[in-house]
Amino acid sequence: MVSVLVALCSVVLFGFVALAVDVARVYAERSELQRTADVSALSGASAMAEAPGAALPEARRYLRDNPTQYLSEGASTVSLASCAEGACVASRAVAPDFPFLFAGVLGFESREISAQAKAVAAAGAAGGLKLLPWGVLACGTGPSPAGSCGYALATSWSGPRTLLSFGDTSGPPQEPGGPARSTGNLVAVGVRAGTDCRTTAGTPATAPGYFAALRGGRSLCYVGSGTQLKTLQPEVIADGTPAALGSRVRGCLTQASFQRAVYLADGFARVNNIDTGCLTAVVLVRPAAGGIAGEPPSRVIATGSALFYVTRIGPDNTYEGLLMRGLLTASADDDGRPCSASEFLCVAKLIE
Amino acid sequence: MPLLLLLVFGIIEFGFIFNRYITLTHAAREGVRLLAIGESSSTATTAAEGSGGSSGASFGSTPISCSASSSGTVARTVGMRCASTYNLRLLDLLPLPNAVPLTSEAKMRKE
Repeated sequence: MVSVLVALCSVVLFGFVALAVDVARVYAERSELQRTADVSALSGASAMAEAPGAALPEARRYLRDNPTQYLSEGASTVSLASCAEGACVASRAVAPDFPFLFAGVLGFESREISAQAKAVAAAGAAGGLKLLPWGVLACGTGPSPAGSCGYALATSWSGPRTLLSFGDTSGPPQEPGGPARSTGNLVAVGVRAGTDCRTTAGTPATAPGYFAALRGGRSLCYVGSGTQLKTLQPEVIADGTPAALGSRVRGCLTQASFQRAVYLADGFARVNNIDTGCLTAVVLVRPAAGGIAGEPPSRVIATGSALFYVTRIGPDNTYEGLLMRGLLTASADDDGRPCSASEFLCVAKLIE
Repeated sequence: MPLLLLLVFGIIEFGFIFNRYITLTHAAREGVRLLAIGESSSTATTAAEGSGGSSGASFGSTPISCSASSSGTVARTVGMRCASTYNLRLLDLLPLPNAVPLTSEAKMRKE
């Protein structure tokens, strides 16, 4: 009789144990699978912004680099998908045979567990590279002497990528197509280059290469091989990793990097209304205490326009500004050319 | 009765362990994401270690400790590894290892 009761109770006990332990294991595994799917999708979306063909290999690679105990790479899938936000990367991490420890007593040997994620990088990323490199130098660091900090910005559009504008610490705002101002104070400017890369003077770069602005720290890092920018020195980014000459980097704006960069460039800029993915509007506001009589009013430039200035006060109280284009999701730029969403690079973000 | 208590305590103890493990997974994922979007190693590490809060710490877990890593050309791949140790409290009378090391790691492509 006792044996019968023990046997019956054991089934119930094992049921509770199975419920507690195996369900917890399932959730723990699913949590890891979700991490793997998220990382895979985000990495794929990030790669897609550089080269559409690289999206899936990169997504697969980071799926492989973030294993779980029961993840099956063969059963997992990565794919391109069309999402409302644009072309996206979908990743599904699968553990096809997750074994139960205690539930096996009750007849449940294993089951499939999966997690999926979708991420989008840039609206219209499938159309090719959408690079928005730019760079800023913190005052007193890098090649610029203290007190003459500068900034440089560059925009590339789809098609032949031309450096539109950049500036140093002095002089009026640089208009697109204006003269090169590589006077030594220029800090970072970049356009990913191939043979279609052009220098700031509008002439083709003398060698394949690129001038890239690497975000990721207080100083943006750049490398370059064109004659126009050979005087630039590599910066050291915040984590202490020097960028090797010739290494390939990619300019990409995120909310964090943009705010940081604007802060460094302007010192008193405030950035509003930035969506976590795309830059939707930028307003630079000069505080009342920082204004100087006779200067142009706060520049901006305009919510809803693809044009704005970054401004700063120079060491001799001169007004300095720089024209930027292509960062705002807007209807037209200053030339009246319609801007399309495909010309804006966004940070990779999860959408599912 | 001893068997019943063992099972009950085991369930509770494993619950805490799994909770801690999931917290670690999330911490690593949050940390590596910050690294991927360009935050500094110290910022990302601090954020990852803070993302777990004090969850589980009052019941035998050591604080989450994270470390950042990078690899590849121009540090293209960034990683965050988070670790914590759970010290058994309910089952520590059993001849089992008292300290259960827990780790979780995530790697992501730097944008």
